[in-house]
Amino acid sequence: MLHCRDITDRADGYLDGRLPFWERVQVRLHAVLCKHCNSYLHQLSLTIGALKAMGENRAPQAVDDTVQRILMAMPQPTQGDQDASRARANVVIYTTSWCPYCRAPRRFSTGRASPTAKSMSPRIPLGAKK
Amino acid sequence: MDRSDSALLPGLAVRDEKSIRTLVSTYHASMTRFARTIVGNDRAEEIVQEAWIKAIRALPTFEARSSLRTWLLSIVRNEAISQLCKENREPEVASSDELAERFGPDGQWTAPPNPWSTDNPETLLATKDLQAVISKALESMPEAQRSVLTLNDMEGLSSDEICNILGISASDARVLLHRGRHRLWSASKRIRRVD
Repeated sequence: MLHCRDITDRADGYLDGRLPFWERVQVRLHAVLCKHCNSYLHQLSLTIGALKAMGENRAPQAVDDTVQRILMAMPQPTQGDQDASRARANVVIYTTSWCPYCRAPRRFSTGRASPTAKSMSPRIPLGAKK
Repeated sequence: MDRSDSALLPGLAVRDEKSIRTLVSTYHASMTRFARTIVGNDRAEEIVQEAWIKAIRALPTFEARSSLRTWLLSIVRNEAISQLCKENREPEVASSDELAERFGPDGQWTAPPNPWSTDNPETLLATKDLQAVISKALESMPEAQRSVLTLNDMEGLSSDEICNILGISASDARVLLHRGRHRLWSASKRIRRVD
């Protein structure tokens, strides 16, 4: 049987749903029998809810001002930046491309790196005579 | 990494205004809330502006090992901590567990919680002075405790993301979260007591 002190130690895991099943049952059982621990769990849950609500109410709205400051602080992009951007776009495409048959990622689908003769050669099954 | 973040990266690398605007509208609020937890309300905007400029400049080196949000929040934290160091303000270390004082050696309550009159967080928050009490309790916490609490409960980040941003272990994060939440509960209970 868990003591009240053990319940407060496990309260965060219990409220966040991180406790293993058996520990969750033990905490719930204790809270049914102990009004102090029941109050503690309930009040802690309300406090967390109030903190979340407070965070949502305090969202600042300075987006336009921030964007202007960023743009003013930035030098104009160079040709190198634009090349890097194109290369990045290639990476994004070929990391999200998958072979429809074996579900393996396609590593040369964008033309950035063409397949080599070695990678294109037919596979020899294990144990087959050359 | 989030698909919408990946789609933004090419535009961000050439400092396309539309991509920057999308990025800022998505993450500015989170970054400001997090900066407030470290440097307070007055300095948070300034820290976040600096963090944005550094982040956009550093984007070509972003390797997408973490999400864009985690990366941006790490930059905010580094910026805020370096600002505190410049001002010779050390980030506070974690405090002891105040909850231990409420229990006897047998593990039973010696100072049990008083009942509250509400079942709803919004009603609780509408209580006169509670927001001020919570803000004050947050300000009085050690920086690491406050950061874990903000990232977990206000921003909804996962434990892994929090550990990445703060550079702490998962068990440290759990202890800091537990102590931070208890401290807030202790502060709120003073004005929610039912006589």
